[in-house]
Amino acid sequence: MRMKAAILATLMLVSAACSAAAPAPQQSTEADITLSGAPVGITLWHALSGPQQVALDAMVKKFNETNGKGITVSALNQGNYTQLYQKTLGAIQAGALPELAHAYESFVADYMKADVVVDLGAYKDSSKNGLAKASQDDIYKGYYDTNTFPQYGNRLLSWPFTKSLAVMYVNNDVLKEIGKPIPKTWDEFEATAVAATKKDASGKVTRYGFAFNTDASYFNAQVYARGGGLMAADNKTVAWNGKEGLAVLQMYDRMNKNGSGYSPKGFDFQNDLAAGKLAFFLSSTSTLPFMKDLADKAPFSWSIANLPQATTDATKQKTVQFGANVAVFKSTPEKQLASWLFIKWMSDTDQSAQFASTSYYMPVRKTAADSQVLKDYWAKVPQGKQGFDLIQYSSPEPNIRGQQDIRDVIFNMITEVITGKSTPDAAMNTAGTKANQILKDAQ
Amino acid sequence: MAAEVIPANVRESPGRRLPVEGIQAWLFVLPALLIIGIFKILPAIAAFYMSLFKWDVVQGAFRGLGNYTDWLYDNSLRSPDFWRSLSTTFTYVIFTVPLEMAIALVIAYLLFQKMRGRGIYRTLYYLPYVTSLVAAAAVFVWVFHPQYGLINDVIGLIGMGPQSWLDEPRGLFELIASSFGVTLPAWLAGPSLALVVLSLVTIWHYMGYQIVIFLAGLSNISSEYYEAARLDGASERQIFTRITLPLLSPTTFFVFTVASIGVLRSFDSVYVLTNGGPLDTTRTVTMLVFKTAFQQAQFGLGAALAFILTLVILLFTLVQFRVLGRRVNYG
Repeated sequence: MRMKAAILATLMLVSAACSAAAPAPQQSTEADITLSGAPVGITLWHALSGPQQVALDAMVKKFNETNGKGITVSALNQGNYTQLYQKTLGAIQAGALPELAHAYESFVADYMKADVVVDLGAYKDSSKNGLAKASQDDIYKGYYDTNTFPQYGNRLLSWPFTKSLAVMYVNNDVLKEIGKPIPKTWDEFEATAVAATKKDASGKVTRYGFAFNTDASYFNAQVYARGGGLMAADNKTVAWNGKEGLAVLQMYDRMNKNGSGYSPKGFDFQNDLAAGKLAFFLSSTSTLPFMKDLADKAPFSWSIANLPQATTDATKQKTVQFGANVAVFKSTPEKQLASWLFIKWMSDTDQSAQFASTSYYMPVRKTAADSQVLKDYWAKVPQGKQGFDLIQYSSPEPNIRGQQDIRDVIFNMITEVITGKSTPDAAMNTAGTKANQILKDAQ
Repeated sequence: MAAEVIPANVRESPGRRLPVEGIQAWLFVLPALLIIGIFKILPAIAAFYMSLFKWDVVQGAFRGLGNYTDWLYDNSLRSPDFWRSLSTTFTYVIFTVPLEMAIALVIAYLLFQKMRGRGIYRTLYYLPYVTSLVAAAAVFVWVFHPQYGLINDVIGLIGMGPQSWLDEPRGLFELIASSFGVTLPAWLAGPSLALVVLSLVTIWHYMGYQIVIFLAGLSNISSEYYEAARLDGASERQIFTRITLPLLSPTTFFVFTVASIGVLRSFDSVYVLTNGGPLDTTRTVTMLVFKTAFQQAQFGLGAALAFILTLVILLFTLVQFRVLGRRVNYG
């Protein structure tokens, strides 16, 4: 069995390599087979909980009832993303993988060390089971980019699933009180945050302008928004340690010293913004349901906006694309095809719109915006549309090996600055050197 | 004695006695052997095997002791992490164990005296130990919360400014000195405030266990010594330092050894309170093992580090026995 799978995988690799040279339609037998209609059970491990799990379960139920090919998907929650990753690593050791798993890019890069992930390129392009050209182009390009792995021969190793992006949450009431619009540039942002800061008689801050993020993704988003890049063109060194990255740290440092910024614990920033104790925070669009809940309980005016940018040129604006994907593991040709058919179905316009309106994740296709389901949802939750309109600006973070450790380096760099342990310059120098060393080690 | 009920022919021929008695004996120890074998010994052997390979998600090339030397001196990314975590671990021991033992001994001594409600107090002090540390940590995270925490409110009453506690990477002595306007050199900064809070929570949790052990030790000291000392006119203080402490030394030594090993290999308290942060100032060796194996998927390196930690604990315990063991008064 294992031998067979290995031979098949090698054949697929060879055929993929050949097709790269000649762009003729792929002749991959595995992707072009037909399901006989005999029952095929597949398991999906995921990290969704609460209302998002309910949303996924409803989609899975619908697929199981309507696919007409005998496919039954079982969706199983495996805890949070870290636990899911750890369980999948364990399953690789034990040889007991599910057919599909929810995964971040860095997870997929690790799973590929064991060569257990199916190349979805052949399935996507299959004339029998794949997507037509127009349908492929309807899916955002950034979603292909992030699932295509340069370290593994630019293969498409995962598929967009629960997507989101980094945005700025704004308390409109605070801005109205100080008479300022939503800032469009970083200078405006800093000035507005300072203006929003209030102190009591003893000098204790009672309202902050900005809640610092120590998570690497928001640092990366700010580097993008200031016009910088994250990696050098050859992917061998980092690029965030340039002037844009330094500007982020210097802003944190100034805001820390003048009291307009603070380090929230956990998810406090959500309650703080809702309680009018904070003007801005950066977060994922998937924070939306939590803010909506808070606003439903104690109404206040809030919105989602793009991060302040270095340029007003809309074509050059940028933020970070977030969210997890789904990877298919090597099993039998039937199960692999069944897995592909499920994720293909999930990303069809109707399902994409439906899932977006119930899970609050972003649809994976542009035409989802035309669906009545999403229009109805946006009429009730305008912030959903505000987030959707920003997808076009979102770019993925690097998906190369070593990225997970580099995230820790960035986290420590920011912590050093906002706890006053290092100056921005010193912290950036140390972090840049360490990150490049990690990349060299991971080559 | 039991041999007398065994028929003579069986007793006299060892070749036949062994299977019957032997099988019985083996059956009795089998459940324990299976559990220990499957859950302790086999994994340890497997981990040692892993530690000899590059095991990056899957088994790779044989490295011999390469993973070990990477941690000790060979790899410029790994070995600074190891030495730093080792120093953090021992700092954690130094700031936890002596204080924990001193408090436990004092409380045990008080609880040993005849007083009303002694049983209630004994139960109360034991409660933290039976409380799940993970559940308690959730409460402590709130108590030490930088913005809304109870502790900051309390120290605010005496005019101290709010602290970041579990989020504070700066050293304890550095913070104290800076409140007097003095800047200390880096090597004098002391453990991070986060590590100090971690020590306090650890003390709170394990104290009850040590009190019970000390109480048992105290009740083992014959009351005749105390009566004789009182007849001779010894003061309470003399009785404590000349009789109680020396005769309690086997217990003290036991508590010291067990507490040190406990802190050296503690994981859950650090994991739930700080997860190794802020700025890695609470990244103990066990946390580094966890990060390496389960967050970076470098199982070979992680397994090697676990074995290095085992050796360190073994060495430390041997030193304890050599240096302190001979001072113990076994009466």
